[in-house]
Amino acid sequence: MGETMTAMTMKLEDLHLRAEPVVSRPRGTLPDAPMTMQVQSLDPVRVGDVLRGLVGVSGRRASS
Amino acid sequence: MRGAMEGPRLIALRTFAVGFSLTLGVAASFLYLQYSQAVGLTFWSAASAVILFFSTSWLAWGATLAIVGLWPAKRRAWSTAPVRGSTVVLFPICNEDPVPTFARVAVMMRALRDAPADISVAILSDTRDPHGAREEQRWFQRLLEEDGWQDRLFYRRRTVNEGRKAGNIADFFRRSGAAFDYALILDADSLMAPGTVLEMIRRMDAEPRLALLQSLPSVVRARSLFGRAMQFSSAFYSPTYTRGLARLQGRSGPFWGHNAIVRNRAWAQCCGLPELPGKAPFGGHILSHDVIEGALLARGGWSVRVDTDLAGSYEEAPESVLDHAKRDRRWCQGNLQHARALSAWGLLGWSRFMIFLGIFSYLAPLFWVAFMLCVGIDRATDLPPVYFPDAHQIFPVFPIDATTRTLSVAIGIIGLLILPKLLILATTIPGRAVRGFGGALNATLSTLADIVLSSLLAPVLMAFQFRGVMEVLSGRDSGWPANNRAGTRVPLAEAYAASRPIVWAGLVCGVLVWVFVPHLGIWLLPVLGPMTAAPLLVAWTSRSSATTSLFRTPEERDVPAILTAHDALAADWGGRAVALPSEASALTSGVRRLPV
Repeated sequence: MGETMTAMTMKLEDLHLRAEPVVSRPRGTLPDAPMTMQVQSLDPVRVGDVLRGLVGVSGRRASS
Repeated sequence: MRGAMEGPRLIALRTFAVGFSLTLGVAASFLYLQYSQAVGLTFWSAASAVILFFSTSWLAWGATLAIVGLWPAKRRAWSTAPVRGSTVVLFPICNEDPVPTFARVAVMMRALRDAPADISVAILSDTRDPHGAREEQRWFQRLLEEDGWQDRLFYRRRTVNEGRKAGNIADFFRRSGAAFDYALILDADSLMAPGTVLEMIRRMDAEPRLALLQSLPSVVRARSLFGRAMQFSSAFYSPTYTRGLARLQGRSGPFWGHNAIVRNRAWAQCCGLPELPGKAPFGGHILSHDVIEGALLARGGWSVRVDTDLAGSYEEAPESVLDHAKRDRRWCQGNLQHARALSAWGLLGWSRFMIFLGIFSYLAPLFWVAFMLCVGIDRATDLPPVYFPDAHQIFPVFPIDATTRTLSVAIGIIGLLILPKLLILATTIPGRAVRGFGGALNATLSTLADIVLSSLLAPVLMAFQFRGVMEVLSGRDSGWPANNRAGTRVPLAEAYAASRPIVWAGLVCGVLVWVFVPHLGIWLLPVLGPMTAAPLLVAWTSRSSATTSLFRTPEERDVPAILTAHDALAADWGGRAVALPSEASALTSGVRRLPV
């Protein structure tokens, strides 16, 4: 099977038919490379957080 | 960290800066109390003393920044290391005149075409007007013909302007942020020399924990008297004040929203802004997003820094008091909205302090108004001195003369406003930099003229701020008006229409002072006089500056190449019919198919 695939690739190469990457993006369009914008919390600091911080336990809440 | 002070030295300098400001506030308050005790302490005079503490501390903070920034920074050689990170230059625009805007993009592209770096340009439009949007698309097609940029130039327009400018940038990150290491955020009126862009990228390359590097943009191309005075202030004083701020910043430096480069990974991690609960003006989208974004990056463990040696960064500024007041009204609402973020969990102490100062900068006019009211009421209700308190007294008891103490407070407050400017002048004159301001004599005359002009305009600007704060507190939303970059002259009738409440407030207060406390008239004249003459000042300062020798700046003397190139291109594009792609071809090209 592997040999067959290699042979096919060689054959395509010989015919200059190697697949080109598909360009579907029109000129000037922003590249498709998404990032996740982590929405931050601006909730007020809580007394519990401060106390936990003082005794060495992480009181920081993760971003929502 | 390179360039920013750390550890015990930073703590000591911050302690000095804050302590010095508060000490001056206490001193002013104490002197005023002594004066009040001499003439008879009342509730109103005690209230005046308390208010004076806050007002003087605020003024002293500005003076402290200048003092801390007075000594020059060590010259830092710009790097020649190979540029590694890929960068996208972002131009967020909204209802801008397309000719100068796209000319800015074009000259930046041309200047960076052969730069040894992977740099792309993205125009992020929030333009709502369909005609303006079509024009942008046609100009974009024109830009696509620029050599070497076919795969590195992007345009995207949103039809729903969720989150305004911050939302516009966030939308870019959500779609394409991972394609680049850094994003250089510019404004529609920004320009940056190619060498500065490369240096900023190299500094980001060199410091993996640096999330945001802010440059100090120089104001350029001002034409009116007001605009050129602001431009001179920006060139002459701002580097010193910003150096002071930079020495105190640690890793929680300022972000002013543009002319700054950000690390995309850090930005995505920390700068997704929440919508504040409730309605505008305090709820909804965060208007002055930059301050909060800087604070959130620092909260996330990243460094935010302003480097004052990054020359070659330019922006434009309002040309009239009215345009300034319009922009300031938006900033006022944005800064007051920060009250909601002041207590946010996890912010660094210095970030919190900076947010507080930003809020206080708009509350300061309220404090001055309250101070004058308290003093006025105190003096108006003052009883005449009793020379013979005891009926059997032979010799009269004269009131203690407290004039010296009063004068000390007044001179001290005026000194806090003027002294930093004079110190900056004194330290600039011996150096080579003074040549950029037309030499020692010209710099001196410009400084003196600036002191006079800013003294005349301060009450008017503070009155506009006062009105803005009152509007925000009463729940009126400013919206997001487009900036007027055309810099048109303000006719007297328009100036009067815009400043009518200020004129009437000045007149009414003047009459009240004349009737009830005439002896305070001379003290209040520098405030009430300019308020009453506000339309004249607004109209006069919006006129083209008669002389260019006064308020000369280095960028006027040696016009930077990027500005010359932009002006030539904008004049060329604006002055003749440029062959633009037809509307039909623009609409049928890739631009039409962009997701919106």
